[in-house]
Amino acid sequence: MKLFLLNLGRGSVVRAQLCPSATLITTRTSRSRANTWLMRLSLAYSILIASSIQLLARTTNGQTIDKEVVTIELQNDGLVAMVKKIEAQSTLRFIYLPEQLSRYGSVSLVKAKRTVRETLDLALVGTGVTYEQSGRYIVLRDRAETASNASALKESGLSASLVKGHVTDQDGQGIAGVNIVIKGTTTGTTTDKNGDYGILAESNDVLVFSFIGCKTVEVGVTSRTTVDMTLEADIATLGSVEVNAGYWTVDERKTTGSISTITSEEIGKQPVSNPLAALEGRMPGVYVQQTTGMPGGGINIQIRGRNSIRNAIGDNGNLPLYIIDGVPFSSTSFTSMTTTLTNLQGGNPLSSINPADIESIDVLKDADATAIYGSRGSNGVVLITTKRGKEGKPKFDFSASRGAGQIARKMKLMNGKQYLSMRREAFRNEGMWPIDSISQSSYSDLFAWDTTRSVDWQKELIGGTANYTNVQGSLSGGSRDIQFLLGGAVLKETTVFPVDYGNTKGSVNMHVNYDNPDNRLQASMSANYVVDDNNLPDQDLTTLVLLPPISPKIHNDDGSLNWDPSWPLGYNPFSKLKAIYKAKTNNLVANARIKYSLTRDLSIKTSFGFNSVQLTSQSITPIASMNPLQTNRAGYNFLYESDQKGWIIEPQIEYSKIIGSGIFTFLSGATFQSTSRTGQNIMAYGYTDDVLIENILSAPVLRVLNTSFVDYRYAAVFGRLNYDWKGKYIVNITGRRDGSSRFGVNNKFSNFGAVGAAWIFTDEVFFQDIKTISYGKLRSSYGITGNDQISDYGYLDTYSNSTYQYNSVPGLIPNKIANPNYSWERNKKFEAALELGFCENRVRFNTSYYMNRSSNQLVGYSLAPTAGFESVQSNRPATVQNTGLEFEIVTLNINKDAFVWSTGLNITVPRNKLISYPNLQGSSYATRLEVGQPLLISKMYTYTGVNPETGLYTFLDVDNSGTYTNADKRSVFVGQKMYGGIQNSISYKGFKIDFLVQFVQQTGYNYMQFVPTMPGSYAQNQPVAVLDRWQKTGDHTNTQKFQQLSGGDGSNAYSLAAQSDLAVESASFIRLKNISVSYTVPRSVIDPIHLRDLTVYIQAQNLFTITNYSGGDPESLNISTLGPIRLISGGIKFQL
Amino acid sequence: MAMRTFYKIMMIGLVLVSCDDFVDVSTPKNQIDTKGVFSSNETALSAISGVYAEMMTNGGFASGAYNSVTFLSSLSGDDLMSTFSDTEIKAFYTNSILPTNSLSADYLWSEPYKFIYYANSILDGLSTSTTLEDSVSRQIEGEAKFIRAFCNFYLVNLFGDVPIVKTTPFEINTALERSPKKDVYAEIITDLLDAEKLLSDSYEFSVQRVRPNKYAASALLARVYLYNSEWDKAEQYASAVIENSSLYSLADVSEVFKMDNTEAIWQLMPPDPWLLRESTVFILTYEPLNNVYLNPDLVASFDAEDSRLTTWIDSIKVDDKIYFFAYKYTDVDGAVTEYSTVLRLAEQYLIRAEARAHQNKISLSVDDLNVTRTRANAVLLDGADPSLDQAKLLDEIELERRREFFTEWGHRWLDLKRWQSKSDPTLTRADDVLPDFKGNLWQRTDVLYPIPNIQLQNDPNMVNSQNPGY
Repeated sequence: MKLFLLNLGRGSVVRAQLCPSATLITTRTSRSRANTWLMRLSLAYSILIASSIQLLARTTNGQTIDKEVVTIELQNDGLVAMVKKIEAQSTLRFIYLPEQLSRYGSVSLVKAKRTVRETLDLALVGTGVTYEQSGRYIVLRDRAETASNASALKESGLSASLVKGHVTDQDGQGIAGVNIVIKGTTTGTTTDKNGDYGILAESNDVLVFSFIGCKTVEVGVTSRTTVDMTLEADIATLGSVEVNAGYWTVDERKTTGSISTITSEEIGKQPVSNPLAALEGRMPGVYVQQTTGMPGGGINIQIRGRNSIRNAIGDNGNLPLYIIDGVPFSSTSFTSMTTTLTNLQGGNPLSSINPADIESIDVLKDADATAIYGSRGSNGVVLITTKRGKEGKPKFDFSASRGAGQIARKMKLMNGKQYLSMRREAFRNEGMWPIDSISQSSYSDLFAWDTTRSVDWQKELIGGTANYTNVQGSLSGGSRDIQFLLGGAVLKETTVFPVDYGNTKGSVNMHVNYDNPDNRLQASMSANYVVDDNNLPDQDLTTLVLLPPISPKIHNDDGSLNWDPSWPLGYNPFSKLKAIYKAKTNNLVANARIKYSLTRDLSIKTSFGFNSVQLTSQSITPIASMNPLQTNRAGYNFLYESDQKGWIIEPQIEYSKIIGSGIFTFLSGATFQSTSRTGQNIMAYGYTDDVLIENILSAPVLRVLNTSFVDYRYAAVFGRLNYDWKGKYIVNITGRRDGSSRFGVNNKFSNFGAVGAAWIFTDEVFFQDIKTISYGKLRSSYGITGNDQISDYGYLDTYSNSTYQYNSVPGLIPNKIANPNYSWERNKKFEAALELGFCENRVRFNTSYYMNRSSNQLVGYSLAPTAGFESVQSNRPATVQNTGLEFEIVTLNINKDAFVWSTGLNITVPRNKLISYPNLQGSSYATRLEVGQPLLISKMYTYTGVNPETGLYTFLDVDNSGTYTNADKRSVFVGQKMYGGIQNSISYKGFKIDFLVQFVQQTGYNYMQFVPTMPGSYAQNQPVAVLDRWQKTGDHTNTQKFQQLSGGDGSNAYSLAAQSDLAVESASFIRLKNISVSYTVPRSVIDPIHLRDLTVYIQAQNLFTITNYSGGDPESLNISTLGPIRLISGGIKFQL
Repeated sequence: MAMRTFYKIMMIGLVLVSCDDFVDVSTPKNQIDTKGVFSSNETALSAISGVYAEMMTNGGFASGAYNSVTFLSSLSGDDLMSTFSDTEIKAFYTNSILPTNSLSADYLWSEPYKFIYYANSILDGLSTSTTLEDSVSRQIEGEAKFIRAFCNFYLVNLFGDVPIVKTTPFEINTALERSPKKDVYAEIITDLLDAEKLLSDSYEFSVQRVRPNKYAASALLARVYLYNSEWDKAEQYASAVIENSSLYSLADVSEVFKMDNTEAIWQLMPPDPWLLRESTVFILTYEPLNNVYLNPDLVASFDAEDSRLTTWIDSIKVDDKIYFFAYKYTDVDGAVTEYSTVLRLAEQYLIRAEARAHQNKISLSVDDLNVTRTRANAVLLDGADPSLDQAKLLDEIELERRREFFTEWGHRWLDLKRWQSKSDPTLTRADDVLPDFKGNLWQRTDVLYPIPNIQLQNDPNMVNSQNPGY
């Protein structure tokens, strides 16, 4: 159940629940940890502002006034006080006008146990007030008034009679929190958790039913005593959702910070295995890039640009903080094997999370939202909330889908004929053709191989079909007090390689919530356990697609591998399929929370989190993968084991109070976090038989290559002050003091904080008459966050064991260059944003501008090899600025006759700049960075064309030195200039189509960066693009002549070209990232078979791409790694 | 102001929960505080052992494996023919190494500097330690200086002018300039003279001859003086080794690379029988694809009776074609019987022969030269031959060095580079020999490998100091 504040007309605020059947807007219905806080807040608000009449309709389970017993003591109390006391002890609810009750003086009553009827009879003696019971409602009336003036009665509403009713959604479920107001008055009530309500109304009154996410309905009472209502979803009221801000939740209307959200519904439309992939193209300011199509492979996420100049796999200062149900999760991949670095592009920690278990992902972007995370928030925070149960009858949800995938984009490579003519032309260009018979043996491709062959290696190696299977089920439900969810899911995806490899993820999750505001105690517990079993070839076969198309046959006629000795790399590429990488990850994230309300205003809570990740990976090279001609073949198995355990305890105290016309909220807490990680790399070598190769104990040689022990401790105190004045002006101050074990003795602690403010100007009186703009908010924030994403122990000067002993003496070697003095990196963030809603919010427009400056850059400062180590942890005086504009427009285009079409567009224009770096020239970044330029540059030679005379590449010799040195290089931008997505959602009755088009304007390295040898060299295929080469004197082209001699002019020019701007080109693309088509079977059909919901669907990912990029996939931008997969799947889901 | 008060409140909270202690973590179990390392004899000796273990572990410049001076520099000279398709290895063979070549950058350049850092770190540690036994402290200091000189020797020979690293602070070491070759040699000589005084004159600190002693320092000094044409000193230090006949005597040809043989002055032991080393790299078991074999010209330079031809060279026949390969090291699997021999007595005889020839001590030189020939059963040089002048003798020494040291520690490559051309004194002997073998791939600037880009990129004082021709 989701609670939030709804601002109704002149400032009366009541509780409301999001319309459960609203479609386009997010329908998160999880019970957030802070909702009781909000509930109390909204209650306070109601009391404060709705001063004219108060109709509190509270939940009961229907007992009569004769059966319910209360213990009441009154000492000159007003009748209102009496009513409240009775309400507090019983399930009965009173309907009355407070002003009229207050006319009657005070009453006293001796403390005793009585039925409600007895209590009322005693208390109301002589007051002239009568009571009348109707179900769980007790209506109090003023007898005197009734007798005297009929018209006054009408005005006061006391001539009215009780109208009851039941409000449901389109599915027949009762909706709690629906607001019901008598038209033209401020008299109103809300429905209880079952959707029931009661109100005093005249027979000719009109009731207005309103609920966020639903269409407002007006209906006349027309002398009825029961008015039931079914509310329909209204897509126009967009964006009124509650967002998770980490330590609290907040109505999107009232956020002072920048937070983007996607929900399980959007995640569920995408057949992806890493939850981060589901964010692609959907959030402004968040750039997500799949760096490989390998299951479990790398995904880059960058929130508002690159803050740190440290950006390498394994040492990246630009990773966001991941929090799963309040438990911090590793930002870096758990494995440290070289296999993972190349094969999986470093991997990603969230690949050990199953997207099916996720309820929502909130991304915090600006200082206001992230400063509460202090030192960890500078690159944004990704909050993952897992699924939880909802109040209501137990229901069973099940979905299953299957799909097939292929590589999304192939490179255009030469065929056999083109390859051969290229090779021969290369020799001719060097005057070496025809080749004399003695030298012929050196060129097996031309003289030993079957030159009539033409193999498409992309097809052979990565042209297969990947299977995708996703099955998930959950049982959830609960009473008002306790809700639960038990779920399980299996996700299996195979690869496009010719042998069946794949990744299987199994997960179970549970969530139990106890929440009874009357009992002051709330508790919840969740656990999510994922077993991920990854089974891949040890090498990404995409690295081999440049084999010559005329290469020898893969298999001999008898089916065995062809070990022709002339294979260009010395081995049959299919032999690599026998070398495998296996990784098993067990990941448990568990969390428990307890909250106790000391008073109405003050509560304490504590959350406990635990995370355990165990990984065992093996990189196995069996004898079967080796050339049989090789003697002394022995299999080997590199084993990496790591075990990470972490816990976090966060005690907190919350206080809220009404001050003036506003609500003041204070939250303070502390964090104690500890993570320890142990790991070891073991080499098992010398296997003479493949059978036992997975068992390292069978290896003749067993070596522990290294061990690692890491303890990370982190402690902080944090606080938040929030003042919300009349729901119009909101100020939010957050701060945190952090201590981290990653810093040396004198630098362990640092302070961070932010101020955010919002003004909902459409709530101002002067704006009431402007109807076109239905919602308008200005907000801004400024603050400082930090970054402790550095390796541990950088300050410790230590030695550790060398891998081997020497002469029976254990070796000790220096670990690193220690630097005891480095301190915290600071990131100053500013944001200004405007949020607008037009035409009753049918059009929503958000725009924000941000400017972040990251200084005192903490880097693994690259050292020259003469320093003995590659890098040292050190602060650099560099200041990096990220500015950007984000736009988001959501429109409801059509909403008529069950036809609904809505569109969402988001665009981000990021700019990145190194604004200062004193003495850059004296640093090791001199050749990589330039002040005034983005970090995303590469220093390159300037290509000046192919010389029409010589046919060789030429470059600008800036200093006219006759040679090409670093002085001749200039900065070339390689990165994103703009990105975004357009999402459309169209539904008609049960049919629904959603599709997302992602667009990225960028530059990237083309094939020259990745193809190591020049066109024409030995045994390397080339893109067909190089056919546009220089052939004869006078030719004007951009590809130099084919040549094959290494070390000659040609290869020198080629290697310069690979370091020139010729190797960078536009890699912009437009991609149909996701499409989902579904059909929900009407209730009339499924009701008889006792189903509550039945939907069939087809989903696809990366369906087509428009790009001029000459390399492989424009997203992964690397021709030697597998690109993202194009996947189509179909499935069914139902609810029992 | 509000923020300040806010922090104050939080500070109080912080004190209450005493985060201070909470965020202190102890040194991880697999690490030892540097001060602790140099507080006991055992751990201090472990620190110096670590350097040799690392030299042999990573297949790098001192390991004898693919990325070693032994292999890569042999490719650059005329010892080997190559069929490697790997562009980076091939570049050494075609003398077209790029500044981006990762083998040159990681193994020939960065690794020696890493070991120099290790040595400097050990010297730092010793200087603050008060608890070590004097003899141990002296030995460790001597070894550290020896290691520094040894690494600098290969750096200066492969790359020309190189930065001299004498301390540990990274701020200094990452911003060095190249020092002239003569300064680097001066540094090497200072270190070796110190080491010669400090090191034990026996092998008491190692079980075998796997850690340098006083004579290893003398032997390397003799080589360094020879390379610097200081003939008298080269002769003096070579003699110092040769004259210690109780420790050193020439071994049988088949025993020269065995562990702990009488000829060995300093050997590096493979710390693990499965690590790659010379035997794995040079022995051919099938057609040499992606492999190397000996230059037939080298094989032809031996007298037929030369036992080095029959013992140190083997061959394989594929399709009627015979490929010769170096068979100095024969261990392929199982127990280790051979150690990578860095310094051996035979070299000292040939150093002295060359130094004496230059001093016109013809007959003494011939005697030294004939020592290795006698041992190999090769045709001896007649010292009484009146036609034997200095030039002819030096030719014979060149031939003998080629036959004795092929595929060992880049001897041939270093020799070709240090000897003057016979036709043009501005050129080197490599310019005489290699064009015939490498064709037009050979350029005179190829005598120096390029300074790796990673150095130029990260060292602001070397940005524009690439070697000529690159």
